Amino acid sequence: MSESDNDLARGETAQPGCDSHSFGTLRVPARPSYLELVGTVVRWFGRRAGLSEEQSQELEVAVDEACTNVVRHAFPDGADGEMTVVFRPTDDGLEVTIQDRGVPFGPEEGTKIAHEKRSRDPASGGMGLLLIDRLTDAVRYCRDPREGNRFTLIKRK
Amino acid sequence: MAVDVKASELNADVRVVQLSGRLDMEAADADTPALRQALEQSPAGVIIDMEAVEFISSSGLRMLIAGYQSAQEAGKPMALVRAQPSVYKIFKVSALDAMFRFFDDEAQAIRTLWQ
Repeated sequence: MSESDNDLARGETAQPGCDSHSFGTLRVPARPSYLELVGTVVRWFGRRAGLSEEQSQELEVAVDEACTNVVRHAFPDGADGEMTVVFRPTDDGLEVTIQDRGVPFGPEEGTKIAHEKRSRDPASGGMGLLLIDRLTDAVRYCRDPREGNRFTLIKRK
Repeated sequence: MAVDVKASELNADVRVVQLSGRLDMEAADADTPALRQALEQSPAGVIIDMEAVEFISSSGLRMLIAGYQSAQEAGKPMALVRAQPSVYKIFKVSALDAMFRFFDDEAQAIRTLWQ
């Protein structure tokens, strides 16, 4: 686990080597037109991991928010970028890791900014991280020197 | 995502905006102008028909919030009708269910807000 690991798992300890038992990987351009494809794959893996339809839909929204953040913020100045979505089953659900090699993303700082934006004007943004927080059971973030940003969303049955 | 605008059969001064598909970042970026135009052109307000919306993210919520704020400034009511439970849940989780006026159908919205 790198020194930059930032455990946001609300009581859960970050697992080293979070891609060691991945059972699916999707790599797509970091563009809005690929969000629907990612969502479809999230639901498919959710069902396969034993999540209910409702839980799979909730995870789909959370992953969409994480991917939207990558599309909006990871590659500024119009640079082309990719995001990789890794699906890993656990004993009690599914972990989805969104990876990108864009600018560093700090969810803790992002959560504070999101809260301030929501307080000022709900139309200005900031709801994405709120939805991720409320629609998942835990999240983890780490900045990997090789893989870049790694944001993991955990959904339990 | 698709946007279809028509006059309400129950009140011709009210516009019914039918949304469908995924209301995500791509759709919100593309469809915000159509929603704004429907609001501006409606003499008395708008009803957003959500029945065919199968997915909504914060981008979609922001589009509707911007529409709601424009409607408020213009003094026109805005109602949301026929939202699917999975979509309504996202409003509730975001604590936005209190901001918007939700109704079962167009007739209930017309009776409540325009009569």
